[in-house]
Amino acid sequence: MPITIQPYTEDRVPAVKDFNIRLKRAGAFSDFLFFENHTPESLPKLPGREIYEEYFVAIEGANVRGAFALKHQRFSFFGDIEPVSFYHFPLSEGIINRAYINVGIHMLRGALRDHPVMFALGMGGFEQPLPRMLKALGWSMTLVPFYFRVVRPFRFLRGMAELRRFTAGRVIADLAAFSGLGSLGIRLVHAWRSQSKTKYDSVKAEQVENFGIWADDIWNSSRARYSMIGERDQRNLNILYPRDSKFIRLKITKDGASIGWIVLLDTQMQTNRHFGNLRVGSIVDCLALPEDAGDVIHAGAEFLHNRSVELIISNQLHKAWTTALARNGFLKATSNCVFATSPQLSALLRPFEASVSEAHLNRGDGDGPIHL
Amino acid sequence: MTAQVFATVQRIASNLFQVPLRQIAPNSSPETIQAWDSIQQLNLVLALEQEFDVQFEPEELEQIHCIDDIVQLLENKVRFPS
Repeated sequence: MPITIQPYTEDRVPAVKDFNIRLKRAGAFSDFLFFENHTPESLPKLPGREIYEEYFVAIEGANVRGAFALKHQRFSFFGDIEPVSFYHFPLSEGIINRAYINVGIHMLRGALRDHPVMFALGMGGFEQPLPRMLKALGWSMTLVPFYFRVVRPFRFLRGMAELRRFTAGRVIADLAAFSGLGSLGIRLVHAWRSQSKTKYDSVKAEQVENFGIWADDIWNSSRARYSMIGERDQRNLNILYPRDSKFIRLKITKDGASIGWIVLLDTQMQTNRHFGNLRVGSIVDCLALPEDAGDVIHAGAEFLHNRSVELIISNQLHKAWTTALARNGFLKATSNCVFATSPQLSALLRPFEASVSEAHLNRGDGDGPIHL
Repeated sequence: MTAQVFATVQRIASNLFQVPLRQIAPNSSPETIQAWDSIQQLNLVLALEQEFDVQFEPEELEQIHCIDDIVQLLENKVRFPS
């Protein structure tokens, strides 16, 4: 029976539940189960909205054999606006039944046929199946660097699950924590990394409930300075980071003038596989002129520091923002966040290799700050 | 023409899956060839598209379950000189 790609409608929910049951029985992690609600909760398609998400299913008769999500958003490429689609959460029955190994390729090629300007983000590293598939299809790829700053070294050494996965790591981390050498070492490294003559006295952070006209000014003045950037005007920002959500929104001013904004999270982790029970501050999203990135990162990191988080993390692609993180005492760690662009999107970056480090991409893009 | 198409598909599949030519039969499938996973399926499709100068539609990919399906699909897509 032929497999067809169709929008995920309410009548398909039971078939998606059956699909998830088959994946679960075969040992799939809970992260690898598809949404059992056919309407995207955070970004539904609403009249007049240019940022929204859609779900699709691969149907064979009455059965669902695969599913994926597309997020549609307008991006600026060197100042010119283009609609772009983000391909994510593809799941195929082919991972548990070799009779369906075509489903993944069918879904991807079908999505690409309808939305050729497309990217994928995250994916867990180059060696994972989706990036390997994208590479075979001629997509361009790079890693989005990951940075962290330890605020409470003792708590970090005792609580960071990633460090403590193996016995040797636990022993070394405990020795470093209880001897005080770990705290001393971490503080020295951060101090050395953050040595800078920059003065931040005139930089102020103001927590705001929403993004106002000042955010449009920042967007309009900065967008052409980035080779690629998702539309971050006040309208889209208030959709992505709404009032009454967990996001902390800061307007950053310098000498009284608005120069940028930053969106943060302050999350008490609970037995998280990477962060254990640490209180983690995240720099989710930010915008300013590239030359003001240092001021914005400084203000955001200080704000999180004062809230007593134990660790601050951020993924940033643009070189001005990675430099800003480094100059504010952040250390670079191994990243598994892959940014992949379809051939048509790569062409807009003309050429990808030279322009990708000037693209503004972070945890505010793609599927957002999931797991944070 | 089927024999010629089969021979070409057999050669490409043999190289890709790194199995001897004789192991690629018309009924060979992901069930019988261990290396034939979803990534290799994509690589096979891309190699065939290049070799035969065709483009498979996403829906056509669903018809591929064994080597013979590929041969039949190519027979229908490619206009061979008579």
